[in-house]
Amino acid sequence: MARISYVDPQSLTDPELVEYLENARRFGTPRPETQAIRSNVPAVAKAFSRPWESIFRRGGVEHALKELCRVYVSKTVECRYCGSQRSLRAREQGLAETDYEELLEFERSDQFTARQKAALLYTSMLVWNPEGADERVWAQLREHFSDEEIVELGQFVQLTYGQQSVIRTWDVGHREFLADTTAGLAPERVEG
Amino acid sequence: MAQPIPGTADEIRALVPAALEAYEFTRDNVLRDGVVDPGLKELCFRYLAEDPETLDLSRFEGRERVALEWAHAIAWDSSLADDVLWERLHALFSEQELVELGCAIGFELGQQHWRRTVGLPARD
Repeated sequence: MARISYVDPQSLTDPELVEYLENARRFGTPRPETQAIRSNVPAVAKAFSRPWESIFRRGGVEHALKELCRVYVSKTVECRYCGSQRSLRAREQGLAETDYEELLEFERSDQFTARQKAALLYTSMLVWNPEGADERVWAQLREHFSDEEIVELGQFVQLTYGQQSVIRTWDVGHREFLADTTAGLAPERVEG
Repeated sequence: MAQPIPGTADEIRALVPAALEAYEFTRDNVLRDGVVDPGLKELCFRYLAEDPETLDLSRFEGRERVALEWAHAIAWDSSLADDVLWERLHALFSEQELVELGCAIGFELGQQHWRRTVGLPARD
């Protein structure tokens, strides 16, 4: 079980928090468990969920590309809980399970476009070597993205990287909370 | 390398109004305010930025020491967040404090890494 208690859903009276938890139940990504932990402190739940909605789910950069970056972060920092989630919206936009398979070898893979590779390279630098985002990295980014899109991408990646880093320490397991829902789980986890 | 996008961190975030708005909410309600002493959170943020005055953990004790150890686990080695560390965390912090402190460390860790990719120091 998780290292921190899940909030009692019946105790939530703020409509904004109730909506975030309901969205997690219906759509996943984020799944209900992490939202239920954040909801113990309303300001924390809002600090995470507002940019998640405005920058990850919406925004100028296509959602499916940001989903690839999210799962890349999960795989590279080994957050198994986060890495076994899939965005339903990205699936609707055409992202397939096979698109996730070569993420860690994206630079050598034929699976990804130059635009996707530029975004993934920046994501990798932000996580592992921020000062490595040098002229070469920025030149690749600017071939495919406006400055506004690069800032949106960076702000999304930093959000998911920081939160996945703390989630790794929570020992959260899928279906420990609102166990009836499998929304947003990767195929191999739905059977579990 | 010259700054690829000139300006302060907030001026760069302002290219995406939703990003600046979200950061300002987090800063004002979680990083600099909330249920945990802001001074303790600030200490953890300095540790993330590898401020030399914070790196010798033997200088700290009690809540500061265990908070810094958790910050280290979050940023660099999650395997260190083991049963022993969690027992100490729960002995010294309420669950609300643990939610806020951990997420604040995560928010700040992400922003420090982002700042460095745009040619800024980890902290102002």
